[in-house]
Amino acid sequence: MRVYLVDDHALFRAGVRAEIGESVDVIGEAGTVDDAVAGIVAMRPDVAVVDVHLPGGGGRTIIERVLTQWPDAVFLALSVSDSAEDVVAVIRAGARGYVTKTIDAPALVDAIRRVHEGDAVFSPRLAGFVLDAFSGHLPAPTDPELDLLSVREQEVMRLIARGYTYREVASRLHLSVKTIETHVSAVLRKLQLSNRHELTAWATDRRLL
Amino acid sequence: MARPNSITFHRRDDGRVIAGVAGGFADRHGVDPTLVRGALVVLTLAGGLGLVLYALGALLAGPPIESNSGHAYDRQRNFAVAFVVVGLLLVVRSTGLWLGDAVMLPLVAVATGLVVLGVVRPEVGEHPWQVLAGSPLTESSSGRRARVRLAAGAVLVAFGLVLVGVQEDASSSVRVGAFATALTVVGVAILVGPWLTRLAQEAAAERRERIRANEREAMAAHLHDSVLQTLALIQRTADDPRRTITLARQQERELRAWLYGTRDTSVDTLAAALRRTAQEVEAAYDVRIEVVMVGDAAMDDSVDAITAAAREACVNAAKHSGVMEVSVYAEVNGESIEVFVRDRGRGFDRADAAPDRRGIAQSIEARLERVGGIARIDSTPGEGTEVQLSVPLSERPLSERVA
Repeated sequence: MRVYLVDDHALFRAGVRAEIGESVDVIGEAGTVDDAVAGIVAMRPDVAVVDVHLPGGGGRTIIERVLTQWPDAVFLALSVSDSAEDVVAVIRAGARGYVTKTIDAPALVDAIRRVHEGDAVFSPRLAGFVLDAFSGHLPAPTDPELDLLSVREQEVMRLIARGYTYREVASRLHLSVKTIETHVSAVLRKLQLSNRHELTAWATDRRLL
Repeated sequence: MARPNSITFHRRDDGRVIAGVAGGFADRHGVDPTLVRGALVVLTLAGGLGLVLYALGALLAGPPIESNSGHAYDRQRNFAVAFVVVGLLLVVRSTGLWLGDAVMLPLVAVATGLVVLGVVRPEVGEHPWQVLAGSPLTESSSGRRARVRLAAGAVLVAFGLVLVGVQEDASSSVRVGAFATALTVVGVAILVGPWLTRLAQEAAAERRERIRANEREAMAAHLHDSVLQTLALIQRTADDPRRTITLARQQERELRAWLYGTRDTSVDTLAAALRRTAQEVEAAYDVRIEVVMVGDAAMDDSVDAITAAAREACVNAAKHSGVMEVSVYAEVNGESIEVFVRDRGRGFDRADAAPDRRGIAQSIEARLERVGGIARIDSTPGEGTEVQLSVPLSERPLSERVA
């Protein structure tokens, strides 16, 4: 797997490169939004690992700009931030997953592999944000099909938020791991397509905007 | 130097306002030149006596020489000059040149005040008019503008005075009197206004600077108390990686909360209480506790109880699971608060658990039962433990009440 790293801290990039360099092929790295966009578009990595917080617009800007030039790019967001606003913004921009920087190397490699294979990667924190975003505290949805999670999807999200891995969720719900992945991908799609107005209302409600 | 008793003096060449008469006189007799200038201005108001004295001085004084303004002024001599001025004023008052107490006394006071403020206080070595332009009265604008302003102000003041002066009986024409007063006030405003404006601007700038300095200080204090202390601790515990990681994590969490303002100190809620609990257990047992929250609730007895129970569960996991990671998930829905504390450690069989662990489990359960809640412990040896806590919600969730 060919991986491109974006983080404004050279030390952090060096650390990640050292940790995952044996399992994946780190083909390039960048520390600014412009360098990252140019690098990713030129080198076409399998997965771009993008920091949420960067000077000049952050991971969200990188994802939006790259996708206009190369719609098949795959992104995994990596952040130290606890802010729901930032995380939801990069997911909505098109990242297929979100992990925190405290993740250990094998888990990070696993997450990269999963987004590369087309899955969505939900950390417990992201699952919590998603449940919050789709929770009943919002005004009545305009498109119930799109704006609500199914009971099963909620169940899956709740277990992920509780710290279960996909495999553990599958065994607990007596489903296959593949089915869990399908559910998570559906949730990701709903998050990316769901009514912008409501997410804004949700964010405003929580004083995030 | 000339004999002090001699009345003759040389005009000043530098540090002069007009011809250097007042400065030269002051230098010669060891008094404050500002006082001399002030006296001349005040006496000029009194029937032009000041002008006459100045002209006499200019005629009688010797050619300009460099001033020796470095020396200290004699207080006694200053007082002497002041007494002479007061005496002269009293003399003029008894003559027809006096304009009347009601007008003259305030004017003398104002003129004295202006002089004291430093209208006529040149700096040694500068051109007199540049000096005036740069005086406190005229801020630091260009000399030309300042000169125009000074002239306009002076003309207005003079005009106002003349109008007051020509009224033989001031009470007979209140209107003209008011007009004259207004003109005088405008003139003084033009003279003093820019200086006052600058004072106000300086005060505002100073205040901004003070606020900025306070913020810098607060930030420095915070960084010192938190980050620097932690870095020092980390250096000392470099041979204990577990402790180092815990310290770094704690600091990261704290700094992030400080930077992004997520500390919930104002409103005490379930989320704030759980995060605090997690931090405390992390610090005490060198584990990592990931807290995920959905919804929130205000503190009450139920929330207290479930937080305390969650703390017990975290401590158990930290002490007995054998792993460094604990997950805490809390959800507030319409009817209840649920908290899950999970580890992937060695797990245990409740039937043959150590008596103290049973006791702790009971304390968790008993605590929740008192507020109508339940606890469930789900553990498989070798796979980990999950403690499920639930209490009915006595109030509506915080987010709904806020909305």
